[in-house]
Amino acid sequence: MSMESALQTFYAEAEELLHNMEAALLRLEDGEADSETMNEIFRAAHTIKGSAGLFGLHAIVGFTHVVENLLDRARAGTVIIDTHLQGVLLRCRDHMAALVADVANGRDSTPDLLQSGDLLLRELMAYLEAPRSDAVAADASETEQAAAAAAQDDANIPPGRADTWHLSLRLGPDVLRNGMDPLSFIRFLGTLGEITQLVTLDDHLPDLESYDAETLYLAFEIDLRTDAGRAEIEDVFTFVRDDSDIRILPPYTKVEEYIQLIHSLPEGNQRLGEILIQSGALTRDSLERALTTQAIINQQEQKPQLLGEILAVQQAIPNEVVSAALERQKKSPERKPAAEARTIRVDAEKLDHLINLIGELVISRQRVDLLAAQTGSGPLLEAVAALGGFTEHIRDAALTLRMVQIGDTFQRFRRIVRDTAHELGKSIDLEISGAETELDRSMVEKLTDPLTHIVRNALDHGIESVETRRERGKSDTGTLRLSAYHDAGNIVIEISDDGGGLNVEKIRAKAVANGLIDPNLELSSYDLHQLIFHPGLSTAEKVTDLSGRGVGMDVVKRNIEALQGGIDIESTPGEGTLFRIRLPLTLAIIDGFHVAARNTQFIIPQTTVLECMDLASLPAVKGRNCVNLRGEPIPFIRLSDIFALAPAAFAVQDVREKLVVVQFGNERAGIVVEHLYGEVQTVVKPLSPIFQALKGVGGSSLLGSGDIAFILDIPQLIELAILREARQAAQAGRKQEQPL
Amino acid sequence: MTTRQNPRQHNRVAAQEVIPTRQFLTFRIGAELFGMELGQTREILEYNGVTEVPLMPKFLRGVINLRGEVVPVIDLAVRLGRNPLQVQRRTCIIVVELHTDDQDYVLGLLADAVSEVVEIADSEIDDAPAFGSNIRAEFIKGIAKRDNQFVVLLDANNALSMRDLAQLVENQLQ
Amino acid sequence: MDVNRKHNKTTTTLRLSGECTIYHAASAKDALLGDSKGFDKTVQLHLEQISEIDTAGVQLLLMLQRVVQHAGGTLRLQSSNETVDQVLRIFNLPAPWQTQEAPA
Repeated sequence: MSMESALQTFYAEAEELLHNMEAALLRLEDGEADSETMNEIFRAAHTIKGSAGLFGLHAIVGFTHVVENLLDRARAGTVIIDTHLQGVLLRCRDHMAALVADVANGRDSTPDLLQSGDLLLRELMAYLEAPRSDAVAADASETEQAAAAAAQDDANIPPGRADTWHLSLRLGPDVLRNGMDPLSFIRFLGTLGEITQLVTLDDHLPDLESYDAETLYLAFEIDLRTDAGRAEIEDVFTFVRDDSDIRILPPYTKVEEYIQLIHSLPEGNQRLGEILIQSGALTRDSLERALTTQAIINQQEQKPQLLGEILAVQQAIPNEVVSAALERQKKSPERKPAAEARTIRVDAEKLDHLINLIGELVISRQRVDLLAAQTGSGPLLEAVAALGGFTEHIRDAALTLRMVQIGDTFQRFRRIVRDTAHELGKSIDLEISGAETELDRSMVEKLTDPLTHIVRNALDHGIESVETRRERGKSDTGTLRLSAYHDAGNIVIEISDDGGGLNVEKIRAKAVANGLIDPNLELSSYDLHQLIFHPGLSTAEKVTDLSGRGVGMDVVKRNIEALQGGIDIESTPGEGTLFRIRLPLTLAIIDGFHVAARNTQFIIPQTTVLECMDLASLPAVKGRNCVNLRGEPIPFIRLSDIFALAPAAFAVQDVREKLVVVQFGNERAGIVVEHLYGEVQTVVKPLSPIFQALKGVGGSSLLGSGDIAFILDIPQLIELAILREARQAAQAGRKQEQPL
Repeated sequence: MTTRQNPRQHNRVAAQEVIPTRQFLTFRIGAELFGMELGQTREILEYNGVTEVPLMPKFLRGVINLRGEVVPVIDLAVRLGRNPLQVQRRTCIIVVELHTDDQDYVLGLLADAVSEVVEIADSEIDDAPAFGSNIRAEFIKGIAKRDNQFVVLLDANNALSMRDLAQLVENQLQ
Repeated sequence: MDVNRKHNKTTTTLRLSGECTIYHAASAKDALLGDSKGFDKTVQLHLEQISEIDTAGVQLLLMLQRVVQHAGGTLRLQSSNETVDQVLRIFNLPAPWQTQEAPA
C-alpha cells in the first residue's frame, strides 16, 4: 500500500471512528454507561492516536494522547463522566475531527484551533489530576495495585538519581509491518539515559519455510540507566503496547520478581537467567535457589493462570495494560466474528463506475431487444428475454451496493439536538425509527443539509420553551421524531415535532406584507403552509444563531427537488408539525414511461404514473385546461404547449391526444402527449449545466435506439399545471362575473 | 522539472531563435476562417442531426448522443452574431473540452467545414482585431494571416464560458 | 536490495547493495535466501554497499546466518560500512557480527 493510499485509509477510518465516538458519547447521556460503550469511546481515541502516530501526525497524537488517558481512567472507573465532562469530551472529539480534517486537506491548523485544543487539554487535566482516592470502591483492587506499584517505585528509587531499570521487550509480530522499527525505540531509550546492556534474542526465528521477512521475531532484554520515571519509559512504547508484551522492572526489584519475569517469558529459564546474571541484576546463586523454589510451587499450583493475572500479581507492568489484556483474554473465547470482518471497503468511484457500466448494459440490452424483435426469430427472442431478466437482476443487485441505511444520518442529529437544546435552554428528546431503511448513498450526502435545516427549525421555532409548554399543559420535554420508511418505490422521511405548529396567521401576514398573496384571497391552511417554501419568507420573530437567517425552506425545497423528490407539511396549531420528504430510491437508473409529443421524446418516471387514457374520452371542464376524471377535476398541460414544440414536418392530421395522469405527493395532474410507447428502464444522464434554467426537465436519457429522451420533472410540471389552471380558473371566473 | 519563466527571460529566449508556436484547428463558418486551439478540441464528427431541446435560444441547436454522453451543440455563428448556420453536406461538429469557472464540460460546435491543423507562431498573432470583424473583442485571442486569408483565433473560454451560456439560456426562458 | 553471488571451490561471496529494510524485506528475503547454493561452504558477506538497514534487515541477516549454519557452512562478515556498523552495534550481536569498534 502506498503512503498516500494508507493515509486515505487513515482519514476514512478516523472519520468513522470519530463518528462512532460521538454516537457512543451521546449514548452516555441516555444512561448507557456500560463497559461496551466506554470501550467504544476509548477504542476510537486509541486507534486514532495509534494510526496518527504511524504517520507522524504529532498534533493529533499529542492531543489524543491526553484524551485517551482520561478515557482509560473513565473506563477503569477512576474518573466519572458527568454531564460537564461529557460535553468536554464531545468538544475534544470535534477538535480531533478538525485536526484530522486539516491534515486530510493538507493545510496547517490555525493558531485559534490549536489554542482551543490547549484549553480543552487544560480542562481534561483538571480531571486527570484529581486525586486517585476518588476511585470507585469496586475498582479499588486494581487502583491499589497501581498505587502500590508507584509507591514501590518511589520507595526504591532515591529521587533524582540515575539507576538501572530492566526492560523485557516482546514486541508484537506486526510491529514492523505497521511501520514501526524497534531500532527507533532503542535509540529513543538511549536518549533517556544510558543503555548499559542490550541482548538481542533470536530464539524465535523460525524455519526458513515459515520465515516471513515482515514479521518481527527478535526480542530484546535491555538495561537502562536513567533518572526517568516509569511513565516516561512506558511512553516510549505507547503505540505498540497493545500488541506487545513489555515488562519494565524498576531499579532494586526483588529477586523473586526477576524470577517471575523469567518464568513468564517464553525463551526458557536458563537463557534469561544468564542474561540477568550478566546484567548484574541477579547472582548465579540467588537465581538457582529461586528457580528451584519456583519449580516446587509450580507443581503444587495446578490451576492454569491467565498471563495477565500473573502479571497483575507481579506488578511488572502498568495497570491499564493488564486490564486491557485481561479483557482481551476473557473476551476472546466467546467473541463473535465482528461485522467489520464481513464487509470490505470499496472506493466510491469504483462503485459509481460499475453503476455507469451497468447503465450502458441496460441501454445495449434495449437495443438488442429492438433488433431481435425485427428478426422475429423465436429462439433469439427467448434468449434475449433471458438476458433481459439477468440484466435487471444485475442492475438491482448493483444498485443495492450503493444503498446505505439512513440510521447513520439520523444518528448525527443526536448531537445537534443535544447541543441546540442546551443552547436554547429547552428540553428535547430525539426519537428515531426506521433507521434501517436504505437509500442511495449519493442521496444521503445531499440530504444532510436540508434535513439539518428542518431539524434546526423544529428545535428553534417548533418546540416551545419549557415555560410555554407548561402554560399549554404539555410535558416539559419536547419530542422530535425522525422516521423513515419505504413506500411504493419511494423512500419517505418524516421529521415531526410536538411543538406549537406553524403559525398560519403570521405566515399569512408576512406573505401579504411581502406582496406574495392578495390580502383578500382565501387560502386553505394547506396552501398557507406551502408558503413557507417561498423564497425569503422566514417567520422567526427574532433571528437566532440557528435558523431564520433568510436562507430557508425555499432552499430546502429546491434541494429536495433536485433529488427528484418532494416535500410537504402537515401542521396542527398547538400540536406540532410534520415535514414529509419523498425521494426516489436511486438517481442512477429509473423505470420510466416513454412518451412523445410532436417529435420530441420524453420519459415520465414510472413511480409518478397513475393511469393513461384518451384525452377525448374524458369530459372537459369548459374553457379550462382541466378534465373531469371520475368526478375529480384534473388540471393538465400539453407538453407541446408548455415546451413550445414545433409540429412535426409531416404531421399526421388526426393524432389522438393521450392523457397521462401523474401524482406526486398529494397533487395530481394530467400530462397530454401524442404517443405512448410503454415502460422502459432508463439510465439517467444529467443534462449539461447549460440547461440549468430549463424547468420541467430533470435530466436526459438514452433510448435503445440511441435517441435522446428528456426525463420530465413531475413535481415542477405539476406545480406549473396547477399554477396555470388557477390562473385560468380566475380568468374564467371574471368572465362569468362580467355580464352580471 | 519545469519552472515558470518570467516574461523577461521568455523574451530573451525568443530572441535566441526558439520561437513559441501553437497549433490551431481551423474551420470555416460561411466565408470566414476560424481557429481553435488544438488542445481544446477532442474530435470531429459528421453532422447527423441533433435532438432539439425545448425552449432553447437559437445558438443552442440541441444535444447529441456522443457514445453515451449527452452533449450540447452550439451554433457558433449565432454566438458570434452571424446568421444561423445552414446545414449542408459538409457540415460537421467539432467536439471541444473546456474548463471555465472551475468546471469541465464538453460542447459540440457546428462548422461548415473543417480545414486543417496549422502551426502559428505567437509572433504572427496580432493582438486585437484591428478592423471591423464584428465580433466582441473578448471572444478573440487574436488574428493571424494564412495563405492571404485572415484566421480569427477564438478565445473559447470567453466565447463559450459555461456561466455566460447558461445565463443566455436563462434569459431566453424568462 | 540486490544480491551479487560468486561461487568458487571453497567460498561463496555475497555482496549486498541498496536498502535492506522492511520496505524491501520480502524481495530481499527471496534474493538472499531463495538460493542456498554454496551455503555449505564459507560464506563471505559484504555489506559495504548497503545504504540503509533496519530491524527487518538485521533480522534477515540473522536468518541468513542460521540458514548457512544449517547447511553446514560458516558465515563471515567480510566488509561493512558505518551505517551498518552503527545498527549492528546497537543490537549488540555476537560473532560474526561484531565490528571493530565494538568491545570484543
